[in-house]
Amino acid sequence: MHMPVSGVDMAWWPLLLIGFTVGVVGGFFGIGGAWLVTPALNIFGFPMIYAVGTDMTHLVGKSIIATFRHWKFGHVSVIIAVIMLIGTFSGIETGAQILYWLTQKGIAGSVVRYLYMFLLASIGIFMLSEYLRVRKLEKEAGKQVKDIVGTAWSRWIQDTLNIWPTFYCPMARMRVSLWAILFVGVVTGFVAGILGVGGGIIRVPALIYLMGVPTKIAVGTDLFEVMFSGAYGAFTYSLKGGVELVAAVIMLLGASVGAQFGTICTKYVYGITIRLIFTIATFFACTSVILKEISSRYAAIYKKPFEAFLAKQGLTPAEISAMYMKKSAVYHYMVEVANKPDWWAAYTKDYLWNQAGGILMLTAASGICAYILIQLYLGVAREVKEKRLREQEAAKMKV
Amino acid sequence: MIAEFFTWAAGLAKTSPFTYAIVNIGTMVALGAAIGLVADGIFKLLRIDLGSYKKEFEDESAVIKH
Repeated sequence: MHMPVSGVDMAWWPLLLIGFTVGVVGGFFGIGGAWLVTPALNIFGFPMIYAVGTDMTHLVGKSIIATFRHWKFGHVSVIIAVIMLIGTFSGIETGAQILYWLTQKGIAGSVVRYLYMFLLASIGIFMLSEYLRVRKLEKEAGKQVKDIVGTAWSRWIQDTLNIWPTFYCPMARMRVSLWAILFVGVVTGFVAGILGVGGGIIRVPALIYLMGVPTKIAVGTDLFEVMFSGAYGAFTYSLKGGVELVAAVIMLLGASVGAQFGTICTKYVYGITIRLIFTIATFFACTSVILKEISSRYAAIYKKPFEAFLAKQGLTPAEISAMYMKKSAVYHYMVEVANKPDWWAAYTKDYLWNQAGGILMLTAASGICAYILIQLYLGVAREVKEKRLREQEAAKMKV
Repeated sequence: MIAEFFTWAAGLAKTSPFTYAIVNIGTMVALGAAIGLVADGIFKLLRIDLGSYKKEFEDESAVIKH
């Protein structure tokens, strides 16, 4: 299939499959899932320069579908989402300014990646230790814990920022000050802006731990935000010509089915289970950033001088980006034309680490997706069985 | 017709990026809303109840509250 904007040819089915997988995962967690989609698209031959923009664009449609379903379930707190959105955007702008400053200093790449690794690892370790603590508590008390609502941090934020105007959020069953929501929005937006990511993987834990929102409400409310942050991302990437609309539409078709499965599954699992799978996803995202950092060290050896060399040869940025997918062309220019075997050696290692990252992310996404689908099947089977039992009992009563 | 639409949109990416951005977002919003509504209609036709339900955090005994 020919992609008219990027000029590359690729099969349609990987796009449909990636869309479906990320639809299931995103609908279940309430995140955009760029850390899954971008390496996955890249591994199937989609140029990196278009991968992020295309992902952001399909995200707009996917989050509408998933938010609608979550809203029907009563998982979306519109008040929190709308106010938080204002904070998020102002935070993103501030964070983006700092990212721009770091880029000018030439230290953005590694600083951002280390910060991201630290943040993801901290979130993952914290959530995992909390999950294990709850499981231990369950065994001791002999009583099942289905979710945890609020933390000492959320209580502190709400006590400290308990300033007029305050709102009652019926979905989350809590009264909260406008300033507390704005504060959390600005903090998460700032972190997302400085990291240059959508922020769902940060916002969901922030809603749970800083706002004290129940897990399912955090998932639905974040998806509401993703609609707008995705639209913002799609807009800016489209302006730069970094969006392949055909690919975004195919991905959306897959995601529209996947998002239904992922979202419906949240009805059948408890909040504590969502947290556990989210923790696993956080660790995978962290691993992906570590692999990216390793590959970027090799990329630093050849990328700038090689691209400058290609530009001198008369190649456009789009042609250069597309060329990275063809190893024979890269070899030709690096070794045969430029006579730089050290560039070729660094490129090969960079390529291999990137591929490893892509394969890992695809495997992780497929595993998580399979787990969610199994949970959905079990949940539906349980519901059908219970319904049948109720009907049988009702029939017996009549007799 | 669909192929023509994508060719036209790809042309916009080069000639008018702002219009291209609007077309991209518009397409996604329209498709997202349409698919969401159609899916809801299908679930209703199949009589699958996907409305509001009793959540676990509404059951105080099974939730740890801080």
